[in-house]
Amino acid sequence: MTILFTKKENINKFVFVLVLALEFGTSGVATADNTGRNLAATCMGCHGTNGKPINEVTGKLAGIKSEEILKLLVDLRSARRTSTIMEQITKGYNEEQLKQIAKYFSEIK
Amino acid sequence: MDKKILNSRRYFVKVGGLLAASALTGRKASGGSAPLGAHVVIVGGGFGGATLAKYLRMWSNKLIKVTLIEANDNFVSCPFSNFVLVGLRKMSYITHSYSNLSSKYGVNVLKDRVSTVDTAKKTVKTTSGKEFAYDKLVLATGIDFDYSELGALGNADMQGKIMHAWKAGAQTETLAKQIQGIKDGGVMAISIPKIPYRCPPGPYERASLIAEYFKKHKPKSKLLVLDANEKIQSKEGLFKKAWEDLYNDQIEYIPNSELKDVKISGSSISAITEFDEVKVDVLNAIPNQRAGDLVLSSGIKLVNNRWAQVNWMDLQSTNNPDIHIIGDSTFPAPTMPKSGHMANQHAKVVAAAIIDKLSGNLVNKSPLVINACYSFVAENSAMHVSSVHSYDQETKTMQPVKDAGGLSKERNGLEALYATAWAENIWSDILD
Repeated sequence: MTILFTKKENINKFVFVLVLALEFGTSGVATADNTGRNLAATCMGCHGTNGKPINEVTGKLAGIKSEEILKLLVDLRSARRTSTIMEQITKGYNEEQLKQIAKYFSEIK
Repeated sequence: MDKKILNSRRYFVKVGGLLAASALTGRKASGGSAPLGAHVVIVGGGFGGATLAKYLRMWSNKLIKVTLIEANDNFVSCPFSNFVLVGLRKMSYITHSYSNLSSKYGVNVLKDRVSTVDTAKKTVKTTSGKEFAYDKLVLATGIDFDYSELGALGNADMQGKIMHAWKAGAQTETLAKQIQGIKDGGVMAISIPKIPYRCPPGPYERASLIAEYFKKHKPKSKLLVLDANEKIQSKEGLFKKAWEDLYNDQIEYIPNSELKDVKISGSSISAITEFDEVKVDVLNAIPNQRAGDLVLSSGIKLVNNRWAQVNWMDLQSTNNPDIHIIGDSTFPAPTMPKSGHMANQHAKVVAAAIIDKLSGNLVNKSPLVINACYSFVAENSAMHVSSVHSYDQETKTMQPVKDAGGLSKERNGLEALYATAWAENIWSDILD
């Protein structure tokens, strides 16, 4: 410790790191389970980063209730709801994965 | 510069360790401390590299330092470049700035070209003489061309006249001028290389849009499609039907017809295949392809001396744990196409994996990626092919998910709206 704090620059660095690390710790990024985020990321090419598309023809997902997104995805997968591409894509995910995706987007503000 | 980076990284890691032992006690065990100050160097700012730069910063709460080295001033999209060729869009529509990556995400975007990788020292050198140390290096270098079997097209002078336009940019503009300058009754040919090449349906979309342009503006003109393959390589039935329905008078499709040589005399161009020689006014020759030059010279393991071999769980080089390769430069997993969408998906798998590795966390053992690929057959008519690929621990690669994915039932206007939304949203996902 003493070696690390012999210079003012290092103390500043420590404070900087402390702030970032605390933020990092509370953000959930450092915890290992990012399953929902990683799965949701597969949707973001068409539906925008974090479910906020700039061209909303594909559908905005951010902030929609989890149950609503899940119902939509399940209905698409079972072709109860007609689609061009989403029936094919939702078949690539199991129900647990669809739940995680729905939960992730519902929590985006 | 590189020493500074390395020193600060070591410093941060030490402090991070202390914090994990003190300030963060009581929190859920994360398997490791934050990746404080680690440095990731990404070479290439296309669909894969630029996405990775953004997501690494976004998902690490900007704790990982990211340098993106790209040779061009701007991102220029291959998707929709076929629209530019026939005057339906301007270059500005497909040209996008990297400025948000720097201003919003704090990526160090550098216009330069990496000349060498020193895997022992873990540094890269650029042609302008800069050197960067990396903790993780990602090669997102796309494709380069192999002219070795194209006769006279191997010389630079000829390459200045015969466009590939298979990397969007200046070549797109030149080919657009050539196509739009063709006289009514003029003949054009497109030559398609053997698979694998970037964007399997791309040449057939290009042919469709040029045929539509001829039909509207130069009804006596013809388009020859010289395909080195035995058949249309993607969406075959849909393209065939569209061409039969719409462009019977414009397109002549010739399979098993690999371009071997090119001659120019005056304004006439001869496209020479194994059994034939055709005279055309404009030739668009798409050459054979391989991984970017840097991939081939970096010492990482290759397949067929052309593509990078990766472990599909995290797209890590199979012989270098500190190098990942994403996008078109990879030797693909079964049925996985070389597409911009796929590169965007690779980037997200690698962003998650790199953050986990630098944090000491376990890497996701079951990553999943999807491909959504739209092709236009006319200005207001498009169709798609989709697929989902999931990592399979038994075969140790990504496998297509059974029953998922598929083709459009038919081409139509609704899919054209989706295709446009796809492009605008993915550009934004990559760069904004």
